[in-house]
Amino acid sequence: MKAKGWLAVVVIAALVAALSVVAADAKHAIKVGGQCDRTGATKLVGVEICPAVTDYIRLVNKKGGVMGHTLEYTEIEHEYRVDRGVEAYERLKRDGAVAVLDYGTPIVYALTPRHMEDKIPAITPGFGRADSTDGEVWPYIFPMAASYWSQAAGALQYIKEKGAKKGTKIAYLYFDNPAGREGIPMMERVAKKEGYEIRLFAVPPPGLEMGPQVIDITRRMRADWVVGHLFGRSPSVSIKEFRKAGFPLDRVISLVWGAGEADVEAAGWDVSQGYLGLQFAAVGRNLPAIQEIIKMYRDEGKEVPKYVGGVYYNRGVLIGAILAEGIRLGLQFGEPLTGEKVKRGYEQIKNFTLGGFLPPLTVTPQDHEGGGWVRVYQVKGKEWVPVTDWIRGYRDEVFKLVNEANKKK
Amino acid sequence: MAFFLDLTVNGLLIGCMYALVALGFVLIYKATSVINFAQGDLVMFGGYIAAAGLSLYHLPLWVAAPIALLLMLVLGFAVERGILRPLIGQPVVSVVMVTIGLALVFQGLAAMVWGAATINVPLPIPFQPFILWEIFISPINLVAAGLCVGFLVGFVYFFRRSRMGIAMRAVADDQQSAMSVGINVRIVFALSWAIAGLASGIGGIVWGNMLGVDTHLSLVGLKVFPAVILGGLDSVPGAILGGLIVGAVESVAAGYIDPYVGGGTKDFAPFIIMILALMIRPYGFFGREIIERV
Repeated sequence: MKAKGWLAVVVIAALVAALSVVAADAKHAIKVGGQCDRTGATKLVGVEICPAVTDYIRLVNKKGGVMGHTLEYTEIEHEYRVDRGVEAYERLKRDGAVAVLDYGTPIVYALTPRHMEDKIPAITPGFGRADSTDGEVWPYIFPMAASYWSQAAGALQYIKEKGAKKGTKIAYLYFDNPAGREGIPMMERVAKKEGYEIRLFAVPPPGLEMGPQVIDITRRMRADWVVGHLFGRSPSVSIKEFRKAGFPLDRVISLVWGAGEADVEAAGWDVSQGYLGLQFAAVGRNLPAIQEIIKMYRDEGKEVPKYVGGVYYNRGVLIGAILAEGIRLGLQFGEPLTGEKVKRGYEQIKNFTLGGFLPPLTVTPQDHEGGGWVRVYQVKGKEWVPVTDWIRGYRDEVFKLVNEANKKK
Repeated sequence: MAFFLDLTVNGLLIGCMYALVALGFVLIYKATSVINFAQGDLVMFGGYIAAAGLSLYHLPLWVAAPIALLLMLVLGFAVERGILRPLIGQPVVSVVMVTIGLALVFQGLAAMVWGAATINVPLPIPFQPFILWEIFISPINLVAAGLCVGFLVGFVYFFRRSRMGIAMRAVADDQQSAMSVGINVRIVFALSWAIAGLASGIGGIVWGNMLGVDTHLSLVGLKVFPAVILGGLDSVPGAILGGLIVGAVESVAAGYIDPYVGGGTKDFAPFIIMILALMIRPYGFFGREIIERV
């Protein structure tokens, strides 16, 4: 064979080799996906949580993927709209995703039957349906962090530890949508058990104004404590209204989606001093996972975004980490990976803290919530500062409520 | 009683701010017969400019606020000059669609330039309330209402006493006659939009301080419609009265009815009043009753 002929053979062989490497890589990619909301009603959260998920998945892939598999994460914007959320899920399913993030309580409700039928597990950290804590009834839904019932129980536990007794007046100020209403049964249950006087105050979306509700809480009801379950625009508005009404902000405790830097920034840090909020993931940059992400940015020669290490960003990292951990444990059941195997993988998670990032997350078929831990933080200076350790409140009541709710179905 | 007074007084203070937004709307309608569906978005844009100056670029208030007001004045002028003027003589529906389109452009543009996050408009006014006969009054509400009243009084004086104000009234009464006596109607149109821009700028600063600024702030403009329908589409005193009524009604309704219906009264009560007003007195308290021979 002439030199030209040999050259052609070598070139073709190299091309074939290269293509086979690409094909092998593609074979090893595991598809996962999630909905996100960078433009809708809760965009304040979405603009931090969404990039955090992709950052963490990128970090995992840079470190060699999960047991040699690359994670192929697809993010679909849904503007916090149910129709688009359903459409996003169907697209992810069509494209072969074996694990997904469902984003938004109304969307979780709409998608639950599909997950059961398709056997593709959804994680819903910190929102969604609280009754799905029971994995034996809802095998493919994983709250993976404190549900709204556990959050309400955590807030009430804190209030009790601060001296609440029979007759203490508690106002529950909530965003009037399925997510906002989710905490009501737990609030009422514990109030009855402890003899608290409770009143509910609905804030219709988008929660731009709530002057009359706050006047009612502070002057007519004369509440001792306020538990806020607001999100999007409304937490910052509530902070200002309570300040305007002269109500002490260290008696206003927000469930998790009203406790971000963006919420306080929008109200003003000076105005928000003392405001309390629950977290289910640690806050700040001084955490191993966050430090690795910062290093990744710097290695790539990129500026580290300001929001890295913030409340909502860190929750996005938690989502990415849980997805990766579920895939890792699911792969133990053999390849090819399926939704069912990822589900079994999630249920193997034990004492997962991500280097101090989380309370010890332990997921079982009976507890898809992973423990229901929260931690109370407070606005001090220009940051959220922890004022308790990881706590759980009224765990027995949470499970009683879960069982009762599931029996009705 | 104290609760009722609390709701009423605080509602009236908020109503002053509605009146300011309504004034911009009335002014444009009165002078140019254009119903401006972008009024709330002008408020939002004014808020964004002030918030950006104060929170993002850290300018002192005495620099940021005049810049915001000046830019809003120019914006109002530019909208009339560049977009509305070429539409003179076109069907009303075209003009309406243009103002709706403008609203969306303002929202998109603001989000594109300043991002999705809510931005604060910090003002050196304390939030802690003082108590007056059992009524809790927040200084920020009082200052905001004072600013709005000040602007309204200044504007009414300008409208009644200055040459340009009288020209605006003449144009509002009859454009043809005004032109025939040498009034430059085009300048009056532009000035109306510019003043509406200025009112929106003040509205944006005070509402931005109360609520924070993002694209949702434009929803404040929705309250303009019941306010101006109540007062009369083409009446400045009507806009003021309408704003006060809307503020008080929504506050009192929410305070007393919300506990029984679960919430939301504040948002629809002004619109119920608006529907009733349209049924009983379609031209509002002070609106001009147009009688046509057919």
